[in-house]
Amino acid sequence: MEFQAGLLVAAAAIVLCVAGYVKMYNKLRRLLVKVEEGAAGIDVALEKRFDLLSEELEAVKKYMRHEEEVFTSITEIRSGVQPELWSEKRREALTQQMLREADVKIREHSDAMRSIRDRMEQSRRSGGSSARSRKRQAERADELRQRTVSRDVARDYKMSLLAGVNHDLSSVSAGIDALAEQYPTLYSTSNMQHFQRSIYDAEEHLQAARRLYNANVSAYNQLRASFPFSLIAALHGMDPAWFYEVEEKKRTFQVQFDE
Amino acid sequence: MVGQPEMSVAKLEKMRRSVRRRRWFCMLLALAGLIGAMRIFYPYCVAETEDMPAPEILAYVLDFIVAGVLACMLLGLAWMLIADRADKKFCHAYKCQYVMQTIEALPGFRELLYSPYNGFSHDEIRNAAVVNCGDRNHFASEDLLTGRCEDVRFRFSDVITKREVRKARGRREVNEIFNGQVIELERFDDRKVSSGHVQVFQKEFLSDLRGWTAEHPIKTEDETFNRKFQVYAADAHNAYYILTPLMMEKIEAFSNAVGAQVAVTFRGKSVFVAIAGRRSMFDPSDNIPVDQQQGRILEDISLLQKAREIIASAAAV
Repeated sequence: MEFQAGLLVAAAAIVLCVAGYVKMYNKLRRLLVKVEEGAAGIDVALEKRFDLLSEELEAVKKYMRHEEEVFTSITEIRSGVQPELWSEKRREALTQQMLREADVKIREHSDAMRSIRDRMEQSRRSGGSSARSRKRQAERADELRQRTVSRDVARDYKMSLLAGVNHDLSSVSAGIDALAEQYPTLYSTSNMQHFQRSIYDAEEHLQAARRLYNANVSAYNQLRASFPFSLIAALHGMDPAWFYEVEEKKRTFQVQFDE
Repeated sequence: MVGQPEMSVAKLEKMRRSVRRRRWFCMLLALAGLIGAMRIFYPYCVAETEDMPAPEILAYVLDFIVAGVLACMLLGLAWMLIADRADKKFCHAYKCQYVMQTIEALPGFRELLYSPYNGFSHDEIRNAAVVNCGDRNHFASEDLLTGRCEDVRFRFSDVITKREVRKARGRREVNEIFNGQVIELERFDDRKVSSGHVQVFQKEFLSDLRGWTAEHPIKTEDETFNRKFQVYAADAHNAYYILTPLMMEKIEAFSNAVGAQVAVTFRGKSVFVAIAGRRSMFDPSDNIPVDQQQGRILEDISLLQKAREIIASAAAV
């Protein structure tokens, strides 16, 4: 009877020990898995940082390049206006001179026509039906007609000059309007701000992943170092975990804005 | 409330004194009623207790009980007829005008709206998971103050949660779970959003106060913080993302500044702060002069200012 009781007690003690052993082993294993999970979390954060920021950086660079090209073109156009202005002034001076010359010619012809008409009037009043006076009248009439034609030509020339100036003025103002409409609004500042926020967010997630990993490592190492877990860990070859250390390769991300 | 005429301190003080006088009058009336009733009913009590052991003592006790009941009824009646209306008028003027005037005079506050009889809803407190929301039937929230503090939108209110429990022999009892203030700040950081709940409870916050908690208890790397607070989150990574060393310092600093038990929950862009065990906000007292009660209003508001300055300091102005 006593022997059986003793056996039962021994069996219960063995069962308890085995159960305790299994429980402690499982606890160590769970913590080890958490450490591995933490390490994977760092990789996820690094991958996310690399992929997200690479894509965003490309997008920002393209946008900045595009804005640089547009800005440069605008600057070139603006700098090209000066020679245009100079030639415009020269053209204006020439046009004015030509208009003055045309005016002079018109006045000349008008004066000449007036004097011919006066002379014709004088000879008509003074009389004379001789052939020479009739011939002289006819010559003066021809001369008058020619002067009229020349004066009309000069007038037409002046009108065409004025029409040309008017046309040039219209095209210049249209060009200024077109230039004002084409001036771009630059949005690269907001893109950069968004990029900076993305960098900050990625770094914060990475830091959180590192801290979580280190916390899991610390919990595992502390338990592993304490008795009787140290025995179980030694029996099953559970080595202490290493805290996070920076590796060089893909884990550094240099933001380069140069080509 | 917006649009109320300004209430001078002198006028409010006059109302307070009137309430106090009426209260004292009611009490004196009740006392006179007690003495009178004792004299009137004493002979009847003596007659009733003639055949009992220690009849004189019993007669006094019986006389006192009967006169006491009558005096209480008289007190209640007198209060309703004489003092109640003045008391309500004083409370209304104090809450609706004086409290708002005091808060509006403080720097950093704008778009203020104060509603003495509104507060958080049961669903809002339940979804916030900052305190145990208790039974819907026994939920109460009042003294709701909304507006902007340093350009962060907030809601600030008294909250009382209770639960009905069954006792032996089918009896039911309503137990109070939480009695304090809850603050909701629209944002705690311009650049962070919490995906899920991150709950931080001060360890003195009893388990019954906490209510629903997220799946995982979290241990941070700060042992001092771990000794004082318990963190719950559905996602450990999110908890570490939100609870940076700086944020943990801020929560500790806030807890020390407030000097009461606190719970903080981050959800989305918002943060909820619960402060337990404090008196009801903005309640007037007819025993204390009005100008001294301004200090109580400022003390109540200081909780909100501290929450904004400390916990939501990363939210830009």
